[in-house]
Amino acid sequence: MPELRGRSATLSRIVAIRVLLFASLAMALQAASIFITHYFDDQQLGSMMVELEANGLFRGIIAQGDGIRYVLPEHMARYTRQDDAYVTRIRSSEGQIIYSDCNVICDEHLLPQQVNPPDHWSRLLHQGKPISVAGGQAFDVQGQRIFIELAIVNDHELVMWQVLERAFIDDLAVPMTLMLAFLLGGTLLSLRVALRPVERAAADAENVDPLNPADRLNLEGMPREIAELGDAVNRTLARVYDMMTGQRLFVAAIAHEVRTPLAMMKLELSKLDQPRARKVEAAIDDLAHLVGQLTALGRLECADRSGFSSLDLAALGRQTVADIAPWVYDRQASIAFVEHGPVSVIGNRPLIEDAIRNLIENAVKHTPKGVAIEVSVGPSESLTVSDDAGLLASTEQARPEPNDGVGMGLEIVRRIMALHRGRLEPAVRAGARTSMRLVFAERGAD
Amino acid sequence: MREILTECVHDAGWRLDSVDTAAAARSAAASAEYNLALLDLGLPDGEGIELIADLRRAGFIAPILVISARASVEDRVIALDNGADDYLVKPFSQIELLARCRAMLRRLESRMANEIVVGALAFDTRTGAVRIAGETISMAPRERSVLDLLLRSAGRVVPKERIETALSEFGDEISTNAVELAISRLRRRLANFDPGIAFETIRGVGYMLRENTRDA
Repeated sequence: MPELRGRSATLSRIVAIRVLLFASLAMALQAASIFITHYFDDQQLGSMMVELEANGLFRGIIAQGDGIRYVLPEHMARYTRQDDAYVTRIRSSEGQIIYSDCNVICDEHLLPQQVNPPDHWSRLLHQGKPISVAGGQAFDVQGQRIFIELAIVNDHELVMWQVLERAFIDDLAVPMTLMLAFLLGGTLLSLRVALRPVERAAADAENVDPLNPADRLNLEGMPREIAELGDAVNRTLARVYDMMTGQRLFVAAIAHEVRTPLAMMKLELSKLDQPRARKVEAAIDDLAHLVGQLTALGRLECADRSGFSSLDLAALGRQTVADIAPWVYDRQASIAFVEHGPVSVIGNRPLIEDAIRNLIENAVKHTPKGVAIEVSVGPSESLTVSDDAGLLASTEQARPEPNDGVGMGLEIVRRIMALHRGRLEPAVRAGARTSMRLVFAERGAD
Repeated sequence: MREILTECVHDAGWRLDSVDTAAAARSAAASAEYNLALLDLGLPDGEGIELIADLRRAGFIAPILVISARASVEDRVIALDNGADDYLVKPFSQIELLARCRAMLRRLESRMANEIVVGALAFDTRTGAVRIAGETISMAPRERSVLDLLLRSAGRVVPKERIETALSEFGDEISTNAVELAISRLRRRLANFDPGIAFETIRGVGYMLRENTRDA
């Protein structure tokens, strides 16, 4: 799961990226549309330039008591006498000049001073680019009409492009940003709400037991498309259930079909008083042991966690030692139990008992007579089966290679521990105690 | 399998009624008294475990030895919990089968004769008398109580707590090593008589009395 998290992007991220991508495309188209609309309509562009410049100049008007004073704004410095390309005349309705950098251009292109101009007017001085325009706009200041008239003869400060920039901001950036914020937020919120049942199902899926037909993914509240996927997963789980149930029956049948004839052969052989018969009996025992290991592995393949419960590992270890002690002593070995503290684990009692038995049986079968076995529990969530065979120098060769029966026995133990989300830690060293440690997952690690 | 088992039991000198279905077994158990039942769990008309439970409910008290191909601990536990007395996994030798049968019959006979015999030692459960090869051994009450407990569970481990409980019935406060002392005295007491038994210490669990094996 962590690998998956690192590798794949979330659906929200994918959708967010695509929404942003398509929104950028839409904005580019809208920008092109705005440019075409404004750039090729000189009349409108001129009018907008007059409006922008008049508004800029208007910021220099300062009302003082009954009078009006004017200070040219810094960003409108082009409207001074040093620059003939831009001229302006600001006057009251009574004809009083408030500010002017007029020269002959004013007389040529602005309305006569005796005329009260309309609220907004503009006139192209010639066709084509760069735009040359004259015009004016009226403002109300303290109940008095103020006329700002101006003419742009040579637009070397690119007022036209400022107008276009303002048009982009007003017509495109502001409305599109608002729309994008709502669209993206709404989409992500909807996705989050829609995916909540999917997240829940993913968390539940970790603990779904295929051997419990009632334990399936909960599809309630899922979007239909994802519910169909969940439904397919549930159908697959049902098929797994059928297979595992079949395998259980198969394992039981194999055990019976093989063990029963072996039992018959052994009973018949025991009537023969011949050394060869004993050898065949021993071979039958080996075969029966192998069948036992194979069926145990088969059972583990279809084992699940449905039978798990909280177990007192010390009590379980002690009971197993008590149960197996007669068998151990019959084989001239000894066994002891040590508890280092109370340990509680979640698990399947018979399977853990199987694992402990397997380790004890291995310790007895593959060591010389007189071996002393110790089963210890704790202090952490672990149980160790150790023996002192490694301490006896003459017995080093007695420890078998892992590719014989011990290998399969340990494999069974490993699988039992894997089912318990734990592990087997073997420690085999000449001159030291041989130990097999069952390490369980800590409580709450699930 | 049934025929071979029948032959084995006949060879041991015992009489045997053999049936091949659960229904026939129920009918046989209801119509005659048996000292021992051998039951193969694989029956054509039902589950052997259910048959054991049914027989016990119906008042069948003879020991039941289950013979099964199912070797897991879980299967054994289920059978024993449902009323079986012992569980033998296939394949097994005739010697092992008959030894188990003898042990179960011996327990039954001891129960009826009020005498427990393990190795050369015989214990009278009514009087507490202990004899080895006909010679009566004198014993303190505490030792006799521990011996009684261990003999009743011969071949199995008796938890230390159970022995402590048995000792505490004598009224005195028992010391922390009272059990060890009692076992040690028992060993010393019987050491001179060759009783054919051994007291094994299962450290951290308890004690086990078992018959000595000569090749040990």
